[in-house]
Amino acid sequence: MPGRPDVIDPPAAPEAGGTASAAPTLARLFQEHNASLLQLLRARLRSNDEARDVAQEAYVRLLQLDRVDTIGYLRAYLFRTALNLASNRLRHTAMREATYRDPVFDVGADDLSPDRIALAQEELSAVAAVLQDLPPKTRYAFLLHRFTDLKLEEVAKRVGVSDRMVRSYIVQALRRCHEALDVARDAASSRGDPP
Amino acid sequence: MSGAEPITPELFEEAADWFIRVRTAEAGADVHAAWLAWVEKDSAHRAAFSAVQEAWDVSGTVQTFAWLTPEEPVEPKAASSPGRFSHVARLPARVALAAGIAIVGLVAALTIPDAASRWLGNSTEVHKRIATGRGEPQSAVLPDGSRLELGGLTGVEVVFTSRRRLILADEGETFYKVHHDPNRPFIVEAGPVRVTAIGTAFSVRREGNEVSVEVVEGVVDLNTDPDVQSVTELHDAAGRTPRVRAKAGQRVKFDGARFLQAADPGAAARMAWRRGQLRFEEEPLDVVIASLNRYSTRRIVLGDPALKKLRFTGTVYDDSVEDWLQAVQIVFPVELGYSDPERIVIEPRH
Repeated sequence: MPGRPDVIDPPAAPEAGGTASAAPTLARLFQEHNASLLQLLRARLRSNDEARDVAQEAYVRLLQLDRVDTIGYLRAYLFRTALNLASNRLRHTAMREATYRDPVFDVGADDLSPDRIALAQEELSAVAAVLQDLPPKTRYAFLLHRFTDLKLEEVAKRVGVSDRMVRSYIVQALRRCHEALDVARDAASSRGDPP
Repeated sequence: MSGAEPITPELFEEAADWFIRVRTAEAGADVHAAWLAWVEKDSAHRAAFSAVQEAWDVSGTVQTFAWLTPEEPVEPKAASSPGRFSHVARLPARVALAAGIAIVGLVAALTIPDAASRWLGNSTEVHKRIATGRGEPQSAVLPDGSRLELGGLTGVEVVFTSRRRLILADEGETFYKVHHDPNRPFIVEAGPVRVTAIGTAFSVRREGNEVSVEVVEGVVDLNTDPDVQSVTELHDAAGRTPRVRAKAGQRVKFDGARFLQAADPGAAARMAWRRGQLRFEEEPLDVVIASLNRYSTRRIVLGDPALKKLRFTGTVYDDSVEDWLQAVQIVFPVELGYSDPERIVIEPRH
C-alpha cells in the first residue's frame, strides 16, 4: 500500500547564500501548497516516492534563487519547475520502462503481504470486470488513454469521436473503477478482512 | 479510504476531469493554476482527486495483453490449429532442466488477430503461452478477466476463441479464477483430463498423466480426453465420456486410469501451495519430487525406480526443500547422493 503523498519534510534552508527573506517565504509556500504539489506530481509520475523526490528537488532549486519575488510568482515558478523535473524524469525512465515492463505478469504485486494480495486480487478482478463490461468505445478510449502515450486528440481520432467525448469516456471509466473498488472494499471489510 | 464523506459521482467526475486535464504534458500554467485553486478550495475536492488517482493506479495494474499497439502488424492466426501442447509447450521446461539452471520469467508468444477490434468486441481470439521459471510462481490476468496463478516451473497455453476458452496445461500447477461467461465455457486440458468450468475457482496440478483438481468455488466437470485409450472402460452405458463433478471443497485425483475422490484436505490445506506450501497426501514419491523440482535449484531425481512406490504425506515449504530432503532420509529408507553438482539423487539406503 503506497503511503499517502501529502507529507514530505521541508528542505533545510541554506545556512547562508540566497536572500535572507527567501526561506520564510518559501516555507509558507511549502506549507500552503505542498499537498497539492505532491498530488499534481503524483498524477504525472508513477509513484509517491517519485513525486516526493521531484518536489524536494523543486524546493531545493527555489531556495537557490537569487531574488525572491511575490509569492504568486514563486508559486507559479515552483509548479513549473516541479513539472519540468517530472517531465525530464518521465523521459529518462520511458525507455527503460518500455523494455523492462513485463507484458503478461503483474509486476509489483509481489511485495505485498498475502492478505493484501488476496484483497488486491479481489479489487483487481473487480476493476478488470468493470473495464471488461464497459461499452466498447468507452473501454477502448480508456485503455488507449491509460496505457499509451497518445494524446487525447489522437485517442479521439482512433475511437472516432470528439475530444470532449473521449474525456467523458475516460471519466466514466474511472468512475466505474472507483465504484468497483468501493464495493470490493465494503465486501472485504464486512467479512472482517484487514484494511 | 479517507472515509470522511462518500464522494458523490458528480464530484468524482469533476475531479476526474481535472485529473485528465492536469496530467497531460500539454497542460499550461493557467490550467495548473486553475486546478490549484479548485483543489485547495475544499478538502472534499482533494479527497476526490485522490480517489481518482487511486482508480487510475488500480486500473493500471489490470493486465492489458497485446491490445496496446493495435497499429502494429500482427501475424495471421491459424484459427483451426490450437496444436497439442505435448511438444511445443513443454519445450521451455525441458530446456531449463537440461541446462540445469533456473529459468527466469516467462515465455510468452502472442498472436492476436486484431487487438483493436477485439477490444471493440468483434473478436475474442487469443493464443499465447505463459510459463514460469523454477521457484518463480507468477500470476496473470487473461483478456476475459479470468486470473491464473502459476506455480514454479509451470506452463500453460491459452487458446481462446469466440466459442470457448481453452487452456492447455503443461506439467505443473495452476490456480484458475474463472470469469463467468456462460457462452464461452472455460476448459483446462491437463494431459488426459479435461476440466470444464463456468465461473469458478479451482486448481489443477499435473505430473505426467497424474492430475489432481481442487475446487475452491463453484463446480467443475471432469472427464477424460476421448483420445486416451486407457480410460475407455469408464464410458457409461450411453457411451458418453465419463464425467465426474467436483464441488467447492472437493479434491479429485486422476491416477492415470481412474478418477478418485480424494479426502477433503480441509480449508487450511486447500490451495496451500499458493502460500508457498506444497501439501501432499499419499502421493507417490516421484510425483512429490516432480512438484518439488519446480522450486529446488538443484534437480532432485530418484536413483531407483522402486522408490516411486513410496508414498508421502505432509507439507513442504517451497523455500525449504533442503529441509524436506533431510527429513525424507528419516522417514524413508533412503539416502541422498550429492556427487553430481547439479543433481540430488535419492537412493535406497543399504
